Amino acid sequence: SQRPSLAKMSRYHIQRLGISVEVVSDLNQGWSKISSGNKVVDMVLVEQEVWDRDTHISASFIINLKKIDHGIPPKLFLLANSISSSRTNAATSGGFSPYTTMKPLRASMLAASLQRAMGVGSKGNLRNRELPSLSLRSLPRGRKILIIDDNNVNLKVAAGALKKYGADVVCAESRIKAIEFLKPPHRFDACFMDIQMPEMDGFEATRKIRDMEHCFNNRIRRGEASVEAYDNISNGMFPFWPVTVFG
Amino acid sequence: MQMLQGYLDEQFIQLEELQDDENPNFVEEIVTLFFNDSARLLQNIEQTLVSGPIDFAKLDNYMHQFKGSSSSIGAKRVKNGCTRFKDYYMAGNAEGCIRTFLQVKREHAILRTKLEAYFQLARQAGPSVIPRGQVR
Repeated sequence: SQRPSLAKMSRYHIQRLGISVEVVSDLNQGWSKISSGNKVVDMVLVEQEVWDRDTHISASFIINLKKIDHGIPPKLFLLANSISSSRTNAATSGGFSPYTTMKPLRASMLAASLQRAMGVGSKGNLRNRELPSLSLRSLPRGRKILIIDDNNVNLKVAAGALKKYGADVVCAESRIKAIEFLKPPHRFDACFMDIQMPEMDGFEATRKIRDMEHCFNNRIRRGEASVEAYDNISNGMFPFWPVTVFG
Repeated sequence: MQMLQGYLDEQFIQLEELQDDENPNFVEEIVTLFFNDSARLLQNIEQTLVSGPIDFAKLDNYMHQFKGSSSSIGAKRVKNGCTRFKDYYMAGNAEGCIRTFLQVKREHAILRTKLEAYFQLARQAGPSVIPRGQVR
């Protein structure tokens, strides 16, 4: 990628899956990394703009990948702005269609794309390449998670389980309290919510949470919330990432 | 533990696995919480059953809570009793309701006694001697 901020965010999300990342700014540099053989490269993610810039280089990149005779050639992914723009591209790549995933890159989407690409079945039976299950189990580590349940026992059990995996857990007994916790800016990575609860159902609560995030992001785009939105990523403002909601 | 066989399911074992040095009394704490909460819920349910025409919405709400927490601690027989009870109140069958409710109440009481004995034994035997995987 040629865009440092995109590269930085993508790297963050990929590393969350326990995958190591290197960033280069064009296909030629990418090719020298792959062909140097110092480290095995399993996956290559190319930003759409970089790919489109020079179709000759892209085409020979694909040809070179197919020529790799040692080990398994890396899987190629394109980071597209929209599905339609990526479709026109697939036609020109000479039958070796890269997998496409959408920007901005998020861990959950990446995991899903990886599963498709690596041939992981729906029951998780892994074929030629094993996605290390350890990294998925370690996903809660260090994450701040909100659990919402009006049942004390369920709350305590869920909290115990997540704490065991290293998460930083906060409990809430009602949706109203939960919405207070989830008003941006907040530090939660995910929340677990019982769908059926007395005062408000899970879908309505999720809608409210998304509305809050949407409003906050609009404020960021209009430049009104820059101070609140500053993260430890110091080179600019980022849209507030939606919290992952598990029903 | 022989005495708990059939009363608890896999979920209880999961809870035992969450217990460690940082949370040495996790299981007993959850079980205590469960019995306090569920005793109250059972009283509420009993009230709805005996006071005039049965308010099924209220009943369903209490039962949802009760079944949920029974499930969370792995109380297999109590949970199954709840399912049968629900079948009767969904069918509006008052006689069946009362009968199955009394069964749930009985199962709940039996489980309470057994678990109290279980934790008593565990305490006497000393820490980290809760037998794992034997409760089926």
